[in-house]
Amino acid sequence: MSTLVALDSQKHQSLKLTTDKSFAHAKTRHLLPVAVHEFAMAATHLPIVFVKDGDTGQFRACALTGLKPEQNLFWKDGGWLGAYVPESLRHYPLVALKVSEGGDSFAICIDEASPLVGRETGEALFDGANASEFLNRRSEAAVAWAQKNLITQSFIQRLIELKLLQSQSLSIRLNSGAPYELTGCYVIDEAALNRLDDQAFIGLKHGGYLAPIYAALLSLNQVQSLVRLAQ
Amino acid sequence: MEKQTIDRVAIVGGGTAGWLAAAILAKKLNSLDPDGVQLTLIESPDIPILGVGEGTWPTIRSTLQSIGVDESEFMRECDATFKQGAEFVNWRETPLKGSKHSYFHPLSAVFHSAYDFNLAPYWLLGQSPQPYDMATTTQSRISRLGLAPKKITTPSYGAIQNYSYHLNATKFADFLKRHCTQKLGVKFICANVIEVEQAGSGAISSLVTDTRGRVDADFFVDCSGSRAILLGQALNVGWHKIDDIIFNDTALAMQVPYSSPDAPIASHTIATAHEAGWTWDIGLHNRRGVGYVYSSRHSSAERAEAVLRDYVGAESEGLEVRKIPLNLGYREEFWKHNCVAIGMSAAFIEPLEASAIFLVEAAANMLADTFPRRRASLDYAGRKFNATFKLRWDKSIDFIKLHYCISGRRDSQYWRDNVAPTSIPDSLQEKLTQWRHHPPSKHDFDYAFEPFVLDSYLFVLYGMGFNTDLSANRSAFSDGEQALQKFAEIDKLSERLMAELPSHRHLLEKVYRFGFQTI
Repeated sequence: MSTLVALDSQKHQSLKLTTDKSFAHAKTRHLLPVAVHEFAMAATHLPIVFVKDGDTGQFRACALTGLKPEQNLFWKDGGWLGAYVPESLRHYPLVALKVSEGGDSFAICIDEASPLVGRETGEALFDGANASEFLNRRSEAAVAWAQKNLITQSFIQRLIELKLLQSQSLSIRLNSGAPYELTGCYVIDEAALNRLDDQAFIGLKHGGYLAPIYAALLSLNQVQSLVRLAQ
Repeated sequence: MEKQTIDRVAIVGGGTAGWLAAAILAKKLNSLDPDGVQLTLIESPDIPILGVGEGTWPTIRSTLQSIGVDESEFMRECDATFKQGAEFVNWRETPLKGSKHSYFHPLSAVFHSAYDFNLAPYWLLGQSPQPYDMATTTQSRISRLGLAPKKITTPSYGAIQNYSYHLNATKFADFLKRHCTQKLGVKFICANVIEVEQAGSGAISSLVTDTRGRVDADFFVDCSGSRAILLGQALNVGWHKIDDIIFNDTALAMQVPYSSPDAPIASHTIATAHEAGWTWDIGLHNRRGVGYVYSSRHSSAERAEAVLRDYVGAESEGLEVRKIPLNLGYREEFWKHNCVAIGMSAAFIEPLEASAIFLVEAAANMLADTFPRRRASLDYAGRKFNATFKLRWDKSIDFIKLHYCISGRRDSQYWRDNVAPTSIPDSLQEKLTQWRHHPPSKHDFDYAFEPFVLDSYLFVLYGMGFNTDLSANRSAFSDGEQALQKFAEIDKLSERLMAELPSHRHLLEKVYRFGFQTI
């Protein structure tokens, strides 16, 4: 259970943060958020799908890392298997959240319950009452990540407006066990993309959306990599 | 020479009926196209919208979707909530002091539609230990627990359990007005109609307004409410009263705030029977709408207000009560010459079962589907319209009367009068006689546009404790295995839904904040 609270130079003054290159916090997650900026890099390793957040109903872009809930096929034997590490993993347990819905400023929050947070080992978050250099670096990265997420949201919004997303259940057929459908995934509708009128299509080009659109389409070939890992 | 085509339609009266009819006509007749039928709606600046009809039927979802309305936006603008049916409290028999009993009439029979496999006889033979409404549907159970019919991840207008809305009718009319004028090409004139001009044939030729001059049109829709200024006043079509069947003629309405911002919101209408009528209790997002519909022949206004305040309880203190006269009945004709009445100008039964908005949709859809673009087709379209709506209203009256005439209540003259055979239409009596020994079947409802069909009758009959004696024909019900399996499936699905669905208020807060996705 994540317990996100805003970082406080008083309350959190003596906290330290360990860096975990194995990303153990992701070992039971079958969906990891990805930003539109990393679609091209992620696409050759992981399928990129769009799923609705169960809490808000809003779409998010995610890399699929398992073939059923709580399964992460990229995390095995104490480490991350993949050649590509989604950026979201690197910021944990820090998150930058908007202070107000319409505003520009972010608050840095921390998952207090994370095993990476402690008082003994790791790098100090604060130097006296001031943020340490380490925290400044991590905070900046977290804010940059939050901004990429906002751009990703605009990208998804455009896909919805142009009716380019469609629901797609993935048929999973493993050597062992009965075949089943993985539901709740949405993908780019290639036929609808090809039917777009020229003006709308050029609009996507100007928005810089074409590369991520095709990256997401191609990434679906990686479902087979997941099936191989699952066998 | 008279024009041979009908290209301009004038609608008189705003309100839910006027704007909903305008939206359906404008969309289906494509008023945005210069060659499409052009619509003008004339609304009086002086006459307030009655705005009581706060319940709808699930058909409203496809209507709103087809006219291009975003579901989440509509809900936010109209304080709308999800409606999954109605709970009828204390209708079955005289309640013992301090106790109450009830049954549900849900909007869906998800697993079980009696049309395909009728569980009723098996239920009558004792195959399920539960009351009929709970035994045969998941929705009664979901609704009783205050759960929502869907999740925030369900697409807009999509349903896990069938649903319609409770809404603020005044806000709904305003919302539709903006939609009609901004997106569907309906022209709006704010003025009073002071004169109706007719041609030699009797057909209406134009309307004279007080501030905007004369409005010419080829066809006229009367949505002016109970005043019926076109069909009733100008064309002299009479009103067929039904007060010998349904006695209610007055309503008292009240707006009740929620006791706290997180108070549960019922996802069904609560209709509670009282000594001379019944109360509606409808949960909107920001308040409850509560009212008492009663017979002034059986209760004084003071007594009625006391019943309403007693129902609401301590919270009613200081709240204003609005009195609304109801004139139950329907026009002897709904369509005459080149004029059709839609809404309360055409008919009004009573809000039980919330059919008013549904029948506006049905009328506007039929008018659009059979629209006489050639003047020569007027008579045919009008005859068809009159015949089908006479039937639909008669059928609605039968179904409403059913709620009263099979009740075991005898605690007041109102209830004793309601079971008098002279107050029950022959068409209903005939069915009730049949159902004493045969369960209702789809063959009892053979008209394509019956407003209330088999499942609705089953919920009311067996919710009310109607007795169907199957002993003479027990052998005909030999599918007991299949019935048991269906009852078990309904139990299983209910469990799953109970674990999965959020509370009604919880979902509403999310819809108001985030909205549904369109896919």
